[in-house]
Parts: sequence; C-alpha cells; structure tokens
Amino acid sequence: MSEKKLSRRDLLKVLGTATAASVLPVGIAKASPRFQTDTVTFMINSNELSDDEINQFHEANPDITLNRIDYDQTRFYAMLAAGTAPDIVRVQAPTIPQYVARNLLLDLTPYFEASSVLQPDDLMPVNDYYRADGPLAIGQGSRYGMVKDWSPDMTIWVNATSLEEAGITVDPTQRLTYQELADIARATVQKQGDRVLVHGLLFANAGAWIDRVWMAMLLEKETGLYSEDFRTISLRDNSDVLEVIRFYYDLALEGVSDSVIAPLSAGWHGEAFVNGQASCLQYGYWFTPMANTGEAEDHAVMLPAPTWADSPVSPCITATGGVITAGTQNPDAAWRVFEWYFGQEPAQNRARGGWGVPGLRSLLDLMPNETDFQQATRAVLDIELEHNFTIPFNPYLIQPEPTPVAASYMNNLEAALTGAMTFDELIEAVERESQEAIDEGIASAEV
Amino acid sequence: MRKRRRAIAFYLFISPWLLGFVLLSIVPLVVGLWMSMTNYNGLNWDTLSFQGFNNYAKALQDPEVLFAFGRTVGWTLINVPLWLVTSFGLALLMNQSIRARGVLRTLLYLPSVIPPVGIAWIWKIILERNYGLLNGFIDLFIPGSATYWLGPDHALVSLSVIACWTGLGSGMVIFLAGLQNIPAELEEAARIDGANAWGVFRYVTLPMMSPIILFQVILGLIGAFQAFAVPVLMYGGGGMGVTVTRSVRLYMIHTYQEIFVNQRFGHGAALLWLLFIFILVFTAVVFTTSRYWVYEEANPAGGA
Repeated sequence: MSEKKLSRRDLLKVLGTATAASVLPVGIAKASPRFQTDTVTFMINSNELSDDEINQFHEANPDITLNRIDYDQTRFYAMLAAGTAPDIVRVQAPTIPQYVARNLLLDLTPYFEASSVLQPDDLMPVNDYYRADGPLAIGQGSRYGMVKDWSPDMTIWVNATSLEEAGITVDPTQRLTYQELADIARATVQKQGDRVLVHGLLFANAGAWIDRVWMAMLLEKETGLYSEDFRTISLRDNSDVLEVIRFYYDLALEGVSDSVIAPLSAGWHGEAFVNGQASCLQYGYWFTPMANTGEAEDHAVMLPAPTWADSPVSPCITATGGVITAGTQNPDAAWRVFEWYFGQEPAQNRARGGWGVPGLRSLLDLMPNETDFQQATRAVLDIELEHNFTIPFNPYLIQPEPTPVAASYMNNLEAALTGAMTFDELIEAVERESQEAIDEGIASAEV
Repeated sequence: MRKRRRAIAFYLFISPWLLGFVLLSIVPLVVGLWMSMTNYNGLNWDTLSFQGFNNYAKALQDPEVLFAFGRTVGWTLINVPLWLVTSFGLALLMNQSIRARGVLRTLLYLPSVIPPVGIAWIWKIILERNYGLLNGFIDLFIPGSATYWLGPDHALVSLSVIACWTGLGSGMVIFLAGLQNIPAELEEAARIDGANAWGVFRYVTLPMMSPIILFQVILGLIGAFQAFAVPVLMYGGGGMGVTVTRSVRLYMIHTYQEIFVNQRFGHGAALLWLLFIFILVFTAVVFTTSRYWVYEEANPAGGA
C-alpha cells in the first residue's frame, strides 16, 4: 500500500498556522503601551525592593519598565552564560574582585561624577569596596557600584543581664580586647550536664563567613590569609593567622561557641540571642531593630568591635549593594533605576527602617535615633565609623558564601573537635583544599 | 490512510509527555554530560576548556567522594530494608478488619505528604539537644543527660528513623493495594490444605506480593541513593550543607557542595553522571536477580 504524502496545500496550511501562532503573542504585547519602554531587569529579593516602590518608580518614570527578579546566584550564572544577564544585580563586597577580574561590571565612574543624587563626596567610605583599579587593587580607582545598606560587622551585642549574673559589667564606650571578650564568654556560658543552655559567644554566621571574620581580625595585625597577589593562601606559616583561627576554635572546643559538638538550639544566631540563649553575639548595627526584643528586651547593649592591641579596626564584611552588568543593553536607563534605588526613596526608606547604615552620608540623619536604646547604639556606631576599613577579598575564589576556605574549615572542623584530627591537621587540610580552589580560580580568571 | 491517521493520533496523544521528556530529561542529561567534560565554574563561560574524562577520573580517586559514596551505600543498606519491612508490616496490619481502619490508614499516610522543610522542622524540635522534646522526656528519668541525637554518634540512626517515618505511609499504600489484589480463594485453598497463618503468608502472600516488593525495592534504592533534602535541612547552620555531620555526609550532599560551594559545575556534573550510571547498573542487577525470587503468573519459567 502506498503512503499518501502531505500535499502542498496542507503544508502551507500548517506553516501558516504555526507562523500566525508565533507572531500573535508578540503582536499583542507590542500593542501594550507599557511595552514602548526601556526594560531594566533588577535581580534583588522582594523584601529589598517592594512592589509599592516599583509602582512609585513607574509613576515617576513612565519611559522605563522596572522588572524585578529574585536574587539567585545560579540563575545569575545561567543568565550570564546565555547573554541575558540582569541589568542590575544585588551583590556582596567579596564578589567584586572576581567580577572585575572577569570584566562583568560596567564602569559607573562617569555616571557618579555627573550625578546630583549619588555624589562621590556624599558616599560613605565603605563604598570603596565597589571601587577597583583592577581586581587586585580594590578600594581605589573606578566605581562599579555602591552599598545598599551596611554595618560595621565586628561589634558585639551583649545581654547585660546575662553578664550581671556572672558579676560582669561593661562600659559601651570602652573597647574590649579579644582576650577580655573570650573571658566574658567563658564566664557567661551556662551548661546543664551536656546541654548548653546559653552560649557565651556566637559570631556572624560563623559557618559561611568564618574566613571573613578571620580577615577582619587580621586587618588590625596588618596581615592576611593570602599573599599580596592572592595566588597563595598561607595559614600554617603565619603565627598571627594561627592565633586568630585559634581564638574561635578554642571557644568552639570548649562549647562556649556553637559548633557540631555544642549546637545552636535556635534556627540562627540572632534568634538565639533574642531567646536568651546567648550572652554575647558578634553582629553588626543592622541587628538593632531585633536585638532589643524577646528575652533580650531592655538588656541588649552594643559594644565596639574588640581589639587585639589598641589599633582597632571595625570593618564591614558584607557591604551588600548593587552593580550594573557590563552586558546591559540599557546603561542609561539602568543608571536611572540604580540612582533611584541607592539614593532616593528606597534608600531613604531603608535608612528610616534602621536595618543598616545608608551608603550616603546625607541619609545618616534619617536613621532611628529617638529611644534611649537607639541613641546608645548610635553612639557606639559613630565611634565605629571612625575605624572602618575595607577587607581585601580574593579575586580567585568565586563563591562568596561560604567560600571554599570557610567550607573546608567547616567540613573538617567536626573531625578536629571530636579528636579525629589535630588542630595542625585541620589547618593543613584547610590550606590544601583552599589552595586547590584558588588554583582553579586562577586558571579561569584573566587577572 | 487509516494507519497514517492512527499514527498521527498516537503521536499527538503522547506529544505532551514526549515533549516534556525530551526537553526536561533528555536535553538536561545531554547538557550535563557535556558540562561534565568541561571546567565550567559559573563565570568562565567564555574561557571554557574541554577536560575529557578528567572530572570522572578525579572523582573516582577523590577520598571525599569515596567516603561519601560509602556513607550512601551504608545509608541505603540500612534504610531500604527498614522501610520495606516496616511499611509491609503496616500494610499487613491495615489489611485486617479492624475498627477505624480508614482513619488509621489516613494518619499513617500523613507523614508522606509533609514537605521536607516541615519534616526537618518537626524533628528538630523533637531531637534538638538542649531544649528538644525527646531529651526533655528522657531527663524526667535520667536527669542531666542530653544525648546529641544529631551528633556524629547518633545521626545515622536518627535520620534513618526520620526517613522511615516519612516513607512509611507511601510504602504502606502500595503494599496495601497489592495485598488487596491477592485472590481470597488462594488463601482459602491454603488453609483447607492445612496451612497456618505463617504458611499462608510464606506460600501465598509473599509470592503474590513479590512483583510489588520488586517495585518497592527499585524505588527505595533509587530514593536512598539520592537522599539529600532532609539531612541538609536538619543541619541548617552555615548553609549549603557544610555543617552536616560526617556520619551522614551522603553522596548528593557532597555533590551539592562541589557545585554550589566550590563552584565546580563540571566536576559536579561528572559526580551526578557517575551516580546515574551506578543506579542504572544496580537496578539492572536487581532486575536480573528478580527471575529467582519474583513470581509472575504469565512467566513460563516461573510456571503457574
């Protein structure tokens, strides 16, 4: 039996139907007035840019469509590979060197210099994280973005009642040494048999950010984890580095800080503090709206960042902000969104909320400063702002949190704390695994 | 003409599935295979280099990979038999004429519909060391004790209990359907021939259920080898699974870290392909052995 082939008429019918079907949605969209605009895609979380704010922007800027998509690093990488990267992306400071190394960011220096909203003189020094003269020289040169809101992250929140029960009083205007902090933590930890009911000291998202904490502490000692060209990590041969790592390691070993052998009961460190399950917490000013609540209400006090030896530093270790990607098709429209978000109503709203320090000096006066608690915290913050420095992050480590350094430490920590590995073996393993990650980053970067 | 129309109708009917299968299964597999032969790290799209099978060779020699694989095999050997026995036992119980059987079946099935985040949340409240319900209860009888149920010494047992509890209902439902399809006259005939309860179970129930058991074994093995969500969620601190205790550092957790922490997308894809191949081979072996223990009524070799 012969098979009947598709006739020419049938083929034309099918092709015509398919073509009409593909053109139809585009035609409908093109007919919409909103489509006659420049579209700017902003990758940021919904709790950082609300629909109300977007609607306000659209009313004031009818020629731009602001399209917000949720921040997702893997999605960002996929969009980069596809050539459809968002115009503006939420980032943290540790990612800037690696993005600069791979030419992923738009140089915004001309925009800043011409802007009446984001004037360079009005920028807080923390915005130096978004300046680079090449990936190995962060803190100077061209501007690639700015901070959304930030805090000096090494400050210490204490539960004053918990300290008083141990016979300890602290003066918020006086800076503790790290040794004094450790002594307070050891004196205020509360255990009941094998249980740790109150940890003595918890610190900033210790698992994912432990290497940033080390680097912040090492700033005062004028050294760091890496060689000057960032190609080598050196832990074993640097006594200052070992001292810093040992500080938190010993507290974990004794069950004073949380770890796999003395786990946290709450879901995160901030929750533990407000539940009264921690007497000291190394968090930044951003924690202010939450610190004085729950079991910590009327007991929370913010202290300056500890010091090793009277040359204090109080850096920000996150500096969450935004950049415009180099591949943007609408740089001018993207800059208008950027300028609005980082310098106008959204920035003012964030400053009033008290969840961080604004990136502009002119917005500092909007920060909450009415209650005694807010004023006391603000007084400590003002001291810390005088000691703000940038941390040199490694351009060859791609993942911001946790970096392979932090991940290696956390992966091996259990063996060390349970005696299956010595401290020296832990350091050797972290150094070896981190160097492997750096070598891979070097191979893929153009620095 | 009628044949052609039937062919067109066939492909039209299966086209949604076919399209989905190709786009959501075949294409990702092929892209994953390609990625496994590169050094892709998320940011080097423009400077990718072809690695051949280097990622595979590195994975097969990596002590961490071998450790995680060993942990996963151990996890599977514990969890799959445990789940099979308990869910089959429950199905046998629920197949009896007992009061409120429907309510009991529903209650037993409920854990299977709880999302992984909810499961982790519930069990963390129970197993948490300092303020958890279990330690609080034990403290009434042994004051001062506080077993770290999620610590290195007990995590494997604790998480196995959670996995079994979660899967009991879905396993029970499948076994129950099989039990209810066993012809009553076979059991009656066995009893008439003098078989006791154990004899009926051994010579009638088990052989008739053997195809269902095979199905459950395959499903259980595949699920166990891919276990990931609940262990990671139980150790939420630090993010990305870096704080999961070593005793339950399963293969998928290690792979997840390689991809999303160390940004080794190529190496991670190789790890996933190795797991895929292993599961395929293991499943084929189980299928091959099934002729020795699975009863099939239509199988000339098995003979009815």
